Amino acid sequence: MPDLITHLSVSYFLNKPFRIFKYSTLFYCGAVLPDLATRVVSIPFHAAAFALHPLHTPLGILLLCMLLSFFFAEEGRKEVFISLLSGSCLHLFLDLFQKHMQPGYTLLFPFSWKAFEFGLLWPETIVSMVPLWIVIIGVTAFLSRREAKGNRQ
Amino acid sequence: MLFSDNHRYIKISLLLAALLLLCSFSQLKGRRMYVNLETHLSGPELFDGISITLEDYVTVSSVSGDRFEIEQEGNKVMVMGTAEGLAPGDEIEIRAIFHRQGYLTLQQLHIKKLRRVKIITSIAAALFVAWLFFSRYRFSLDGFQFVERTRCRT
Repeated sequence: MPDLITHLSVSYFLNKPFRIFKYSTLFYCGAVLPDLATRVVSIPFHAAAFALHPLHTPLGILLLCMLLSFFFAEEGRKEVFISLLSGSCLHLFLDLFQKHMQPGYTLLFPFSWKAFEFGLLWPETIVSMVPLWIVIIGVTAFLSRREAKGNRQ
Repeated sequence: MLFSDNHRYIKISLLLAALLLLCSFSQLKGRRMYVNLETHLSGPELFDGISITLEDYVTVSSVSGDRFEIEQEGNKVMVMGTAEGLAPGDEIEIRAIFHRQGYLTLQQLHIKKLRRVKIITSIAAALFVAWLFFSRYRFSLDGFQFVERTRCRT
């Protein structure tokens, strides 16, 4: 996985200028959901890695997002589901760009255990770019706030 | 229809059941397919001369001259070969030839130097997302769901 700051940054850069999602908070939550559902437990408890593996696959994440959407009000539930699922799909897509000695993403689980990834960057290479993401987000947020303030005046 | 409140608790139960089924299948099948250092060391003849990859939870125990020792989930093995910048405690991914005598010959190695930084930055991001979420939503026991917080504008 790239670190969660990278996942959040990419989702922010996608959502901020175009305002694609009504529930942007949930889109950002979706962007970190696959790792929150799996790594939070599997990093300290290795034995749980296989049990949680489905929550980092397309089918598992689809079911999880649907499940979570039922804990929101009926009138916006479909949009909540779409926001969570879009964020999660973006997460899974970004993960594919990473390189491992053995590809690790079983996209067709549970129908196939065949793993796939584009294998372009070691996960650590992406981490070293975190300060850059933070600066760009900071500047973008500052500029958009200033613009919003100007529009109000 | 699919997202309506009709039979909401049945839908939640079905989704939970489907997820539990997937997780159980993954645990049972995955565990059977999983090959780690323990698998190799417990059947050395089967893997003799074969290139193996160890990826998860592999750490360097010691480094000395032209060899180093690695550990994976309590099992240790000596690796013949050198890698620049390798130090005890490093987390690594390794591809090597397995020998039935119980040692490896290095083919390829990757040091996960910034793994801890990655975990720390991820924890910070997770906390930020949690703050973002709970500043916008609160859980209501009436209806058993998250509802948007109403902002006080006075």
